[in-house]
Amino acid sequence: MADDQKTTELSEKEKQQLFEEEALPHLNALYNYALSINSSKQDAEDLVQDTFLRAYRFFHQYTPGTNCKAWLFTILRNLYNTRYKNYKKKPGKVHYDDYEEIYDFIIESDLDSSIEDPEQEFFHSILPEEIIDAINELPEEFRSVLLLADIEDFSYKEIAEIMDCPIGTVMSRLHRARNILKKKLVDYAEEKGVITAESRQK
Amino acid sequence: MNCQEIPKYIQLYIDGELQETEKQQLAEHIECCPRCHRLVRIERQFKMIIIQKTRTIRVQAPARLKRRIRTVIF
Ligand SMILES: [Zn+2]
Repeated sequence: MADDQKTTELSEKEKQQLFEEEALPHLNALYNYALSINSSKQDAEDLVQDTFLRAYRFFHQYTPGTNCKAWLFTILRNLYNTRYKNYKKKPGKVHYDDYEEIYDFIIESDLDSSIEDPEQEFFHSILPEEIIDAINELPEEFRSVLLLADIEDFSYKEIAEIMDCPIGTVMSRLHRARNILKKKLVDYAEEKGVITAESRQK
Repeated sequence: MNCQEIPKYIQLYIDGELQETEKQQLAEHIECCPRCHRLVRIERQFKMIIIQKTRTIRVQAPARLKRRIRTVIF
């Protein structure tokens, strides 16, 4: 099928086939993202189903060959915003000042001068559940931007469209999300004794 | 680009969002500055760790969801 063919010119059967090829393969990505922003599996499933329903209804607006995944995520996010607008919890209050750049402790400290990259020990000590917990504790907007960038591999511009916010907001949320995560992971590492508070303050 | 300027470009650099010229300037700087090179490496490693560990909990959408979507749409 030629890329410039309008979906409006398609027969119902062709439309179905195109939808199967371009939209449905993104089901897993949409479902995983929906899980991360919904409190139950049922809500996540409903959100994904409604996303595909709406996508099919407005499939004539989609240009074949363009980024279908970003288009679907935008629809999902719109539905999510509408659904939760009235009773959505405000993102948790984060005191940004608490989350200064934390490289310094890694850069300046020589945990063991015989080790060339002391941060290796820090990174290897991080457990999957620690990361997952830390991500889940992020305010929803921060968590979304982080997952869309790092896991779904969207560009800042695509994320801005999906989240319906300026690119600058995407950048600052991403930066803050990562700093909050680093701070939490450093705290965990301290608790486990991988790094010490002294080395951090150096 | 000097050491003071580097931090504000690191995020854009590891996310692949820097313009070609800036990308080159940053690459040239870290080639001869071990400290900034290390900053970039740590930041990239941090991103990779998030990606790796998050992948471990990625799930398949339930088969019933796929079936339901097909039934409702087509
Ligand atoms: Zn430097």
